[in-house]
Amino acid sequence: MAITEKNKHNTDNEKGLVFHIIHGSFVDGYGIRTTVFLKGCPLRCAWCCNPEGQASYPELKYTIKDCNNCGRCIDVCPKNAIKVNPLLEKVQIDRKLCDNCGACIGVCYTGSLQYFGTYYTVDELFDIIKKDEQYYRSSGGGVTIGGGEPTFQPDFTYAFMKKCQENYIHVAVDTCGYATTEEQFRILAEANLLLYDLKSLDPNAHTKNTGVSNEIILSNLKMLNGMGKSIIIRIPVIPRLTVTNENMEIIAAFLSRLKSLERVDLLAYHTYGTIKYEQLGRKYKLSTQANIQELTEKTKRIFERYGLNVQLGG
Amino acid sequence: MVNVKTKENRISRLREKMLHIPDICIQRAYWWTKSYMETEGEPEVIRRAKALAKILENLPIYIDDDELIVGRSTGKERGGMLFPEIQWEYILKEIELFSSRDWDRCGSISDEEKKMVEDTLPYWKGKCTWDRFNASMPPEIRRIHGGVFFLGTSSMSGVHYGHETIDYSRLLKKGLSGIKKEAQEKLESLDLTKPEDFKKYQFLQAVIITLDAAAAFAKRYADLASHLAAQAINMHRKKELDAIASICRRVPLNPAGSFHEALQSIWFTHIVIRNEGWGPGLGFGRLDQYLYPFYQKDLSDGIITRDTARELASLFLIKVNDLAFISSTVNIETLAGFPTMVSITLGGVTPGGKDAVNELSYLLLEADEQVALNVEEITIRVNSSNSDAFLMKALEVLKKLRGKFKFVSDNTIISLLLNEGRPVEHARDYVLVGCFTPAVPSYSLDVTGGMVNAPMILELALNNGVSRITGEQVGPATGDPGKFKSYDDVWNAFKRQVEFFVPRMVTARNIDTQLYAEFALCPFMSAFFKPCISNGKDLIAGGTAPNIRECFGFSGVPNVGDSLAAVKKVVFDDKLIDMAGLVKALDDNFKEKDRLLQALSKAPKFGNDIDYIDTIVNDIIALFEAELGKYKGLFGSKPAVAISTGTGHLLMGTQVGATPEGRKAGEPFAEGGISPHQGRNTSGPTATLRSVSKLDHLKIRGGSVLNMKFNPDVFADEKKKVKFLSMLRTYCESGGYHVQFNIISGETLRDAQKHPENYKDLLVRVATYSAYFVELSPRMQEDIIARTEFQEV
Repeated sequence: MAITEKNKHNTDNEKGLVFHIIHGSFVDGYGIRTTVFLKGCPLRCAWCCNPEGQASYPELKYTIKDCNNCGRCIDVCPKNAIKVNPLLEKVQIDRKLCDNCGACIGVCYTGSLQYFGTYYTVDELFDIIKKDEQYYRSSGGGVTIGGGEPTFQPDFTYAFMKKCQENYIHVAVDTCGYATTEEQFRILAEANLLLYDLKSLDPNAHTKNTGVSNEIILSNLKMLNGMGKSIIIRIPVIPRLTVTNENMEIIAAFLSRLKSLERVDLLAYHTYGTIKYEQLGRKYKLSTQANIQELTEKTKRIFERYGLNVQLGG
Repeated sequence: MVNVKTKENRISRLREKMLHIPDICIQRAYWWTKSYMETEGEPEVIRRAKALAKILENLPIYIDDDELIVGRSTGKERGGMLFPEIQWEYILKEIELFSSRDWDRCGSISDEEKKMVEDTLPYWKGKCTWDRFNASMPPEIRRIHGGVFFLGTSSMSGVHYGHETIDYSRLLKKGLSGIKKEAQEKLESLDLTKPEDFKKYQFLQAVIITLDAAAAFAKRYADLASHLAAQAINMHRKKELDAIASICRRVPLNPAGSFHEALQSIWFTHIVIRNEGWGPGLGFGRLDQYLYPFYQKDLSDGIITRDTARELASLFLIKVNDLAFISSTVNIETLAGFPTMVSITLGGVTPGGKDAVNELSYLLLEADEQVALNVEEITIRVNSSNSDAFLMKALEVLKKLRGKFKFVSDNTIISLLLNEGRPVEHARDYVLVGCFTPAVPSYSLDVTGGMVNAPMILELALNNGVSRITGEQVGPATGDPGKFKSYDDVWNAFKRQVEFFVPRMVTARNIDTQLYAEFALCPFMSAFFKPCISNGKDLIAGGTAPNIRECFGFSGVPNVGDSLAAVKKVVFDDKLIDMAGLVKALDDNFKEKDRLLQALSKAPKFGNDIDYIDTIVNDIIALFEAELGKYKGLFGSKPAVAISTGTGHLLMGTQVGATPEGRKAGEPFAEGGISPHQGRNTSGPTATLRSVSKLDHLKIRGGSVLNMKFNPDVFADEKKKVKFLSMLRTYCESGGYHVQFNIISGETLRDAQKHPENYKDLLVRVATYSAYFVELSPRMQEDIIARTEFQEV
């Protein structure tokens, strides 16, 4: 994968790279949850709403509206990647030259240049999530490890998950299922709950839309189903790409054969991630005119006909 | 004329009338003054009683075609009462401006009304409590009043205390006649040769005058109803009016015999209390408890159905909206949106400790779902014995009303009252009065608190006692802040400023309380407080002592915390700048100090469950509590810390220069009280709740206010509602005190700004009360929009 060539920051195996923590989420599993978003993902889904979760190193986040065009960053950039855009009276970053070294962040007074991604040790992260323990207890909630893809930092995620579990905190892992190694798979095997993303049953479409084949994902799913894991399948409803009138029944039939499936969540396409693409200097390419709500509700009806427990939203 | 009136349109018609802008009613001011002109030289308490009687004889009365519960607090439909005995001058100066000022606008008054005011009000020159207060205030206290002690005293706010809940159950059981009998017996037992007994004699005489006057007031309504019944063409309405007449002949004089009578009895009594001495936050207390026996009996006797009972309850809730808090233009900045606040407390436990929720608790929630106006303020006590079904019902209504209810923790408040030495039965029977203050009906007086501009105290510590805005030496010189070498130096300067101001605030309050004890007596209300009758002493003169809670409301406490944390982190931990540099930056309002501003803004902020800052907020509260604990209130009471701002955080902000939290000069402070500063709590709802619940609420005996804004998404389905409930319960069971919610999206509020005509009844939680969004100033509207909106992510 191309991204590993820039992976020079992640040398410290003791630490995990986290890009967001939410205290008190009502989604991403049962009860009230604290969701930890880990950076790094093997997939490149066209609709991805957390693009800052894809690369496994800290990335420069540039919020153009906060820039006051002071130019200090231009002077310190060792790669000469920053220039003034005279039209906007803001700086602009050449992402081809930028290696995310962070020199500019150190001199940015406005906060328009920051990092996506902070390193935590297992203990540091645990101390943060355990504060909400009373809320987990009363609501049947816990920690959700999402991302990015949690298995992409296998040692850290496993150690963090175990630390939670040793302290009787429920752990849900929100995964794309693309676990290729033993270290990665054991995270899925030992999580208390899996939020398992399913994008497509068609291997060609899957490769086209996510960058990887679904072969491993499906075989892992079958294996975990065989192990009797608690599984919630999450399907992003992206018109033409994941759910279509033609494949709804096929997916439903497939899912209805999974014995340890507890629920299917249909996650309707949205564009909340657009701002983060801008902050990364990327473009969000996907757009659709389709009626998402109609498609989502139709999918729900068909799934329910197959006896599936369906929820709209996560 | 056939006039078919269904229940629904009866309720909606009456409700609609409460959505007009309020009108000033000058009747109370006029008759009260007239009476005072006639009673010169008589004992003050008797003068108060006679003045009340005079109003009740002369107040124009009116019965609306749709009404079943009758009686108006003023001569107007939604009226504003005036209290010239507290402040008269602003009334004369501003009476014509009320209809044109920027917000909290009222209807204009007639020339005749204007003349009545002009002819009488100058009587109060030098006599109203505010004039007397100004005359007796030592100069050095005058200097802090209106500044650090921002809205210091009740005299300054222009109204009576208002934070009382009488013992309505006693009224319903005994009637005015029963209470009069008690007063008479007490009076006959006195030994008038003893000077102290003679004072009691005067008080009890006054009580009897007011009880008779209240009964006569009800009779006026009975006669009016009979008169209207005789004229009525519609036979159905004639029957209703006959029933109203006979109810008004029985109550409040006699014990209530039915649910309808009980509601009418407490309403008449409340009107009288309002006219005697109103202030925002007068409560009805535990309506679901003391009305329940009447509801149950009528239901089993077949006199009412659940539906007719709910209709009556709705009509009652509409009725309480007939009064709007009118105040001077200066004061409405701190309490914007006509906060009349009639507190009603539901749920919790009985004095015996059992689950108190009953069918009426549900019914009152349903009634408010229908009424949803701004004055009736429902507080829900959250106790672990209360069923999920009840609390889910509350959340359902909450969602429909976009917030509105307050939730308080039984655990915390009962512990707090026990810690004060109250008997356990009293502690369990608490209600909320005013915004957020715990009170025990019939046994305690809980006086509202002036607002303290806490960030201004910090500013003085960081500027050697000098205000950055005015350049005046306001506080003591606590040393050149540029030379402070450690966080302890900063803290000690702050502490010394607090030590300077607290005794001066207590003095100011004691002067005020003393004046109220002499000139703002409330013999009628006192009649419904057990200790007042047995001690023969007016409530306002300390009749319930030592059970008196005098609150000092500290505002901007999260800002003081965020500022101290920023100094600690940026100056002393990270050493990015020294104190001299920081002080210079504050002097310059961070001009060309973007980098420092950024660093200060990034320092830990309250509301994100970060101990680094949260412990500092707790230290500040402990300091206030310890300092106040050194002094005594007028009746030997121990002054209490409250954490609140009303809407004063906007105006108080204009009086303080740049602060180290990264706030520029003049910007607002944190809203509510203990709510994290607008937009700074970015870590999710449980992090905010944890920051607040970890504070030592037993030291905040006057209560505190936490506002949270949620996107309606969080109530999207049943499962999410269950999660919300468990979040609320956990907060209440883990040390939290109060929380209330705005369940509304930013888009809706923006749309309401653009199209106010479509949002006439859109309620928002402002401070600890609801107000109509479209009646608020643009600045206040922006402040509400700026609050962190939690949504599902």
